Amino acid sequence: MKTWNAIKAVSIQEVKYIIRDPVSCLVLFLMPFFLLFGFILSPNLVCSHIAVLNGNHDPRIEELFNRIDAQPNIVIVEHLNSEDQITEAFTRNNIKAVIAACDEGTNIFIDYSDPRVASNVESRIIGVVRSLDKTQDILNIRYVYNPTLQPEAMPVPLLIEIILLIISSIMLSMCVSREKEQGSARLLALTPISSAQLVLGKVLPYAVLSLCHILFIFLLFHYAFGIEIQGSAALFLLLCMLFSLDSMAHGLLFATWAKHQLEVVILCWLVFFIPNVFLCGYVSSIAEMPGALRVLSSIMPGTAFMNAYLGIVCRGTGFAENILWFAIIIAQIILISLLSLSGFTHRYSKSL
Amino acid sequence: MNQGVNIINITKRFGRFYAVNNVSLSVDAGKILGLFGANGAGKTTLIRMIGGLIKPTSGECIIADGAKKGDKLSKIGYMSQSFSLIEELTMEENLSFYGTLYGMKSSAVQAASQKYTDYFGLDKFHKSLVSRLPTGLRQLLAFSVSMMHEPTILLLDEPTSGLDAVNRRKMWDAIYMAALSGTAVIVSTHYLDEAFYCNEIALMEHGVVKVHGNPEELAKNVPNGKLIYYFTQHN
Repeated sequence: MKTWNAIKAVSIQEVKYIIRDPVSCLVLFLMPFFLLFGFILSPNLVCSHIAVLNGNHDPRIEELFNRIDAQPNIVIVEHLNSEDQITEAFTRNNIKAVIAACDEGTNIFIDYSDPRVASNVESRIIGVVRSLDKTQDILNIRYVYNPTLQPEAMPVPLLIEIILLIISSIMLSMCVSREKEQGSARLLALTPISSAQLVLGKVLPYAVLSLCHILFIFLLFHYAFGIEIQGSAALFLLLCMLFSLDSMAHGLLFATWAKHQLEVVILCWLVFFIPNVFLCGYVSSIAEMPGALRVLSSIMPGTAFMNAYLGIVCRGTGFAENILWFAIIIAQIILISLLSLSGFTHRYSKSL
Repeated sequence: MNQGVNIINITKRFGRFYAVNNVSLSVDAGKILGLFGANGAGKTTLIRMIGGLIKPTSGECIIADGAKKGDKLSKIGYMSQSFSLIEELTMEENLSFYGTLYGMKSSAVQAASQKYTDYFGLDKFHKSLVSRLPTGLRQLLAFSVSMMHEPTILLLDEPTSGLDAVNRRKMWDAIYMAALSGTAVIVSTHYLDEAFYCNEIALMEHGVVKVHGNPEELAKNVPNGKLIYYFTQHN
């Protein structure tokens, strides 16, 4: 009986600990919701937008388009009028392929910046064409944005995103919360330095480090695998720096609210890192995510970074075509920075 | 002209709990006010409100004749109850870092740094990482950091806790030195024998100042001259 009482006492103490510790609650009660990521990890659920061009208004080709459109995960979102519109079509509507029928035959143009999605679209389009006409041999497939079909190009944006997320949000927030834990934050708050100066001083080394890592990755991929930036290199660097700043703003926000380093690391991983990596559209198509995750994905800085990366680096698009992604990142930097800085000194100095 | 601290009807409430309740005190330049009381009496909360780390629920604290926020911070020297310097920096780097944040020139930082390391005999630990220093030396370093910009108000939250008798004496000598140079000092402590080192003392209990005055005068009014009487008579 004594043994049982002791076990009971320890269990009750543990339950009280879980209930009274916000981080334990977050991990234990929110974890099951991460099962939702199972939806987006499914390899079959890829919805692709395509455009079509039927220059001769051939009824046989129209029938082919109807068959393709009836496929569960392929949607024809645009009917083009001339071949001149093909290049432009890829930069709009996140189009993965264009089927163009003209006098010389039927050409399929496939966006190969994401080889996984591209091969999926390609095999399904060819499957439909073959099922319609066994003798069909008019297909001429052209790959755009990654014509040499380099699989090495595929992980680059995600790797950059992960590195920037880890350095900018997790490492910075750990450093800030360590000062809270040690108590030095309290002393810093009593010096004449302003919140903005303090934050800027903390952010600067991480910003430089992030930039060095970006340059290193790109030089490595350029010289080792021959990947080049199709658009403006300056615009790409600006994108990386803005994404890094956005991550830092989030990291600071978590650090000012959390009490311990462990708490801030868990917050960063669960609330920021995992959703950004899983919902950015790299793991699976955003169009196929459940409604709530789709909404969440659309406001994630990781999604904006991924889309802008593919636009600038793979398709060579400029600032105007990527303005939405830049706007999302800049708006978040402003909003989250203001949230982090409001009462920063007060919360920062609330040491243990 | 009073360049010290005027605390006027200051209160701090956390929910229904009054950490500090309607306290009024003042310290002139060059004087030492000692705050005494058991754990949870409200000494630390009061010191943090004076420094501006905690916002009072009501009342106010006028520092250095109403200095504005930026000025106010450069006039305050603060030493926390728990050690609060940066452990990953050496003793020398900590002194230099905080001196720079207080807007001191590097020559002034060096001079102040030398003054306190000489005074406390910390020379041989100058290049040591703070995380590797024993508690007593950390306390002496924290005091040096709080004094190096020559503040007009010095807030010391239990500066002698964890110190041996020799270092306690050294610390009090340094506090006298600060007061003699015109700094208004507010110091909290558990040790009642330290009351006689102060010009005035305030005995706190449950957030309220129970007794306030000159320690020698107060001691005359109690049996055996023991200040502990003021605490025991309430319990």
